[in-house]
Amino acid sequence: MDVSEYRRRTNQQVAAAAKRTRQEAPRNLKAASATLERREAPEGARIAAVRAMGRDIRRRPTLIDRLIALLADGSESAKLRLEALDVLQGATFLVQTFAAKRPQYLEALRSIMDDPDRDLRRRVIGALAREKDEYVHRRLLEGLEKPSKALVPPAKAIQFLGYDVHADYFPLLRRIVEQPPTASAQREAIRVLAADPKSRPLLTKILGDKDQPSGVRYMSALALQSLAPTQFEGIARKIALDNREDHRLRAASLTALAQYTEPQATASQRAFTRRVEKLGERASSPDVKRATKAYMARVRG
Amino acid sequence: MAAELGERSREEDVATRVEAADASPDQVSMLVELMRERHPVYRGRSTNATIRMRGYAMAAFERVGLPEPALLYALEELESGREPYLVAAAAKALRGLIRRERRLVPFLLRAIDNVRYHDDMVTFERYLPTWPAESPTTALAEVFRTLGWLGPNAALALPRLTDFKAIQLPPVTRAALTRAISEIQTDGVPEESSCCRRADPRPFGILGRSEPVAASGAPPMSARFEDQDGLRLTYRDFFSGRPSVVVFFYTRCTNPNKCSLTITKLAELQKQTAQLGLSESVRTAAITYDPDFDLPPRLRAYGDNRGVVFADDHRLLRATRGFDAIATYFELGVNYGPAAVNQHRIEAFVLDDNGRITTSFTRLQWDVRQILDEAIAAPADGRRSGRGRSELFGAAGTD
Amino acid sequence: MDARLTINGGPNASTAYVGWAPVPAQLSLVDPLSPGPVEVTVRNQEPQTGGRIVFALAGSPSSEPALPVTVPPDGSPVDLLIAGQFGSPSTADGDTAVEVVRQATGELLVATRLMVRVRKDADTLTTAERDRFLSALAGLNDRGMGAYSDYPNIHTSAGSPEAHDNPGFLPWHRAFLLDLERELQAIDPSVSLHYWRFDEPGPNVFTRGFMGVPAANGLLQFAATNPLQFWATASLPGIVRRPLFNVATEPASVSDEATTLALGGSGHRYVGLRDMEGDPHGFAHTSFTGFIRSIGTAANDPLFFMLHANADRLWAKWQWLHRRFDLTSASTFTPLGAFGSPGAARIGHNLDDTMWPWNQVVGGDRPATAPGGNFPPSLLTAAPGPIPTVGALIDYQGVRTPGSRLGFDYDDVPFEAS
Repeated sequence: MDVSEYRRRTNQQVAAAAKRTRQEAPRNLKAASATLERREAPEGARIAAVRAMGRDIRRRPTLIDRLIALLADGSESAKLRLEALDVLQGATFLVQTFAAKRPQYLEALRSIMDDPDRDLRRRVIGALAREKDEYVHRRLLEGLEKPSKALVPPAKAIQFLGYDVHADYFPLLRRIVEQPPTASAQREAIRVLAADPKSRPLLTKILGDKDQPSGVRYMSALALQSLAPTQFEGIARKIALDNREDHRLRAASLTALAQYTEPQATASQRAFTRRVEKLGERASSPDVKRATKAYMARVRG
Repeated sequence: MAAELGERSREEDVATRVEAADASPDQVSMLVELMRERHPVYRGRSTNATIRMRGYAMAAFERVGLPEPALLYALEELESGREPYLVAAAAKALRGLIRRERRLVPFLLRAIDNVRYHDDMVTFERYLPTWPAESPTTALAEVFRTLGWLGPNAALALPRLTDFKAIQLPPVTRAALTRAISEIQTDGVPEESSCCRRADPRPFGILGRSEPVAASGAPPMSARFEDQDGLRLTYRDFFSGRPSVVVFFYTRCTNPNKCSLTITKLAELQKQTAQLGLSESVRTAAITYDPDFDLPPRLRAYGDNRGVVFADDHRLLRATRGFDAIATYFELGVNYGPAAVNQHRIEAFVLDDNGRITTSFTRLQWDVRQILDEAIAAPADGRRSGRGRSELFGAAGTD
Repeated sequence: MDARLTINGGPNASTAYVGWAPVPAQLSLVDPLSPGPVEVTVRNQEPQTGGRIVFALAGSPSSEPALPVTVPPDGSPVDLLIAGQFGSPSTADGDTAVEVVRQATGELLVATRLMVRVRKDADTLTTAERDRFLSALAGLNDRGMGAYSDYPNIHTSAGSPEAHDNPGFLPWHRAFLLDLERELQAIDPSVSLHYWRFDEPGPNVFTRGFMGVPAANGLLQFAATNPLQFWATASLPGIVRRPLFNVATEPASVSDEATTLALGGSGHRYVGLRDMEGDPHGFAHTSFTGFIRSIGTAANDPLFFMLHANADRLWAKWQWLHRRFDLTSASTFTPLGAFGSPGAARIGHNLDDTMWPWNQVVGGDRPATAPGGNFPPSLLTAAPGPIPTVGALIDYQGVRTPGSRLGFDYDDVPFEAS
């Protein structure tokens, strides 16, 4: 490649972009602020104005106050408020600048947790859940116990609660695994049980139960893999070689064994590897075939 | 008389008892009891619930008065806590002291550093509040209020507070700051005697190794461990024959001022031990509170990441049997939710060469050099090696 | 007659990696049996496959794909420079070779296998490159038990003023990325830290075979042979990430590359470029829901590193475009000097300051702990050293000071001598 030509071309592109930036009104902060305040302005223009304000937050932290007010303002459109939320959440990465506004931001988020707009509600709850916020935890747990109070579907609630494993919901999750409100909630509950050493027997039982749906067993495999890796390896070997087993589970087991064990380290592992090699010739599932191939590639280094 | 608070008590009932508490000795002692992590009321709760319950009770000391035995808990929270609710509660609790002492100031300044980048709106108006809440406050605002309450005794904090004037703050924090500065600057005689113009950098020295652990009963000799490499050994194997330093931690701890710092300091302790040529004279170990989760690879990664140099005499351990006996012997300041630790204090111990506790360092941050000196001075077992303290040095000199 | 070629100071395969920045090599004769100097040609392997290499005599400004060299008969070495040819990287470990051929006889004296190893646009990787990258990542994570836990522990609210919202944002993250890349290379030296171009669609990145596709609840799903399915952080398996844009046809909600490169203004100054911390960097983080959207959980998603590699690439490209490698110029980096001098920024964000956590300084103005230890070393270069300063991360190609070369390059950012 001709580097000097490349430089010339890149310079041209940058110069054109600089010109465009200067001409684009929304990037001008004053104009952007004015557009935002004109409620009759087209929504697209006001959204662009919010984004433009977001670019200037580091230099003008007081913009955060205006954006928090917009976020909390239920009379504005959800789309505009979502934009304010995204911009504010992006500004949380500016730790020092944002520190002063953080208490009000979190307070605003907690105050709009019940917003009728589904997307806004979820994103607000997600932001608080990642902060391990105690109020959002209480509300999510309440929703899991009393579905009429649920802010989000059960699977999503469990996922949000999972951001904080220093929690007391594990008995509830075990109940949900036994009597799931939805299949997705069951899978999420199993995933979060990976944080609970006491759930090892339950996870082992599910993984070994061929009557359970494949997705549920697969999630148990992932959970056990991180909670009890040695125990998982033994089970994974059996699953991998069992041609009556679920294909996806077999392929995942082989992939895990290829990634995390030394296929030639011991006599029993070598014996297992020989059986995997034969498996590759017989496997009917493309996933198992691919996983076998990858396993053998690992063996050959 | 109300029923004992215990594992089955509802959170709301605990809160009601806290709200009803007055300055009578039994009420105050009920609140002091709630400061202990091992209190049965915390068993099986989430960390968030322990923060709520403990914080609500701690804040009540502002109203009923903060007795000397509870002061340490508030100082610990200010020194190492990072939860805005608990830090705010601890700052409030200090205002229940009778004497406005300047030795409190370093702890409050430390608290500012701990929460300034992740402060939050909190409220003590009611338990389990809904939001928006009435009259919320922030951790920084409560710390500022306490500095203001100290008045001229907090003069040491003035430069820091003045720096904050230039920083954007939430209105409630800003108001507390402005008021604190003016209260500190008020002409008045500090209540303390004029003998101590400077704040002692290690105030509460006697409390520094506080909450002496009684070490009653015999060490849990038959407890079994697995180390960071999966090697198995007993308490007796590791902790007898030489003095040792043992600290407690767990890899899922979310407060970097606690477990992460403890292991970092353990690594520093190892380094200083090696510099003195004592690596083979003093053993070091860290035992996890969370043995079922902290499998050997997790222990190794956690130690490696914090500069621990592993060797036969220097290991991270998880108990595979007998953790309860360990917890009892060391009177561990820890409690558990259903899956993980829900709260714990900072704790480190020096053991003699029979695995017995000789000194304990709990709650407040321990000093690496101080604990090393204690370990060097730890009594040796005459029957086994016949080495006393001086011989330990002698042995080091010939290494 | 035999010849010996050492690359990056090492005689073995572990140092046989080059990017666009030239690396030192030495050529000498072994057991020459020759009364006078020997004329040889140093060239790409023939037939030419894999990455392409260029050669220069030390001190010479021009480099060639084949270079005539006169080698002394007494076994003393000739100093050469070897680099990948911009635009022609390798796709596999040792997929190319340097050949030394005696001109008089055509005899092949030595052939040294080599990889032209650079960070690439993740959307353009071969399947094998992608799979090696994923396997190394999954290995480092080790189902939540491995050394990867270090990175989320560093990138938390406690450490974040060391890394964000200050001038050192770009150098700190460059170090953070290189730290991870060196750990990945310890697992598989053929791996580079590839980047996600957030200002372009990523149809090959957001797939089950690569960075995953979200299920209805945002939890990523992976192909049966993708080891990222075993990814675990913060006690739990899995990654939650849902794009708020169409990954196959749209970029994230960020300014495009040219607009970002224009942030330095007409003076091309760092102080302006630094605005990229908000847009595109912050906006890229919030173009998704899930882990990557909050500071405390962002590094639990391996996409974090690919996002930041792109932010770093944009800085690198700007540096190349405007020749911003001079450490005495405030246009290259501001503030110059160290913490405490007039006009200085927060500690850790001035040119001469050391950076946490690698400096292991804790307490006071720094966080309470410094997980991860000193900066990991490399076989290819001594830079940036165990305790890097902000300044040590700037001249990453060794444009001004060859010794400051950090051992990585981007596929679309060439090396040009100053």
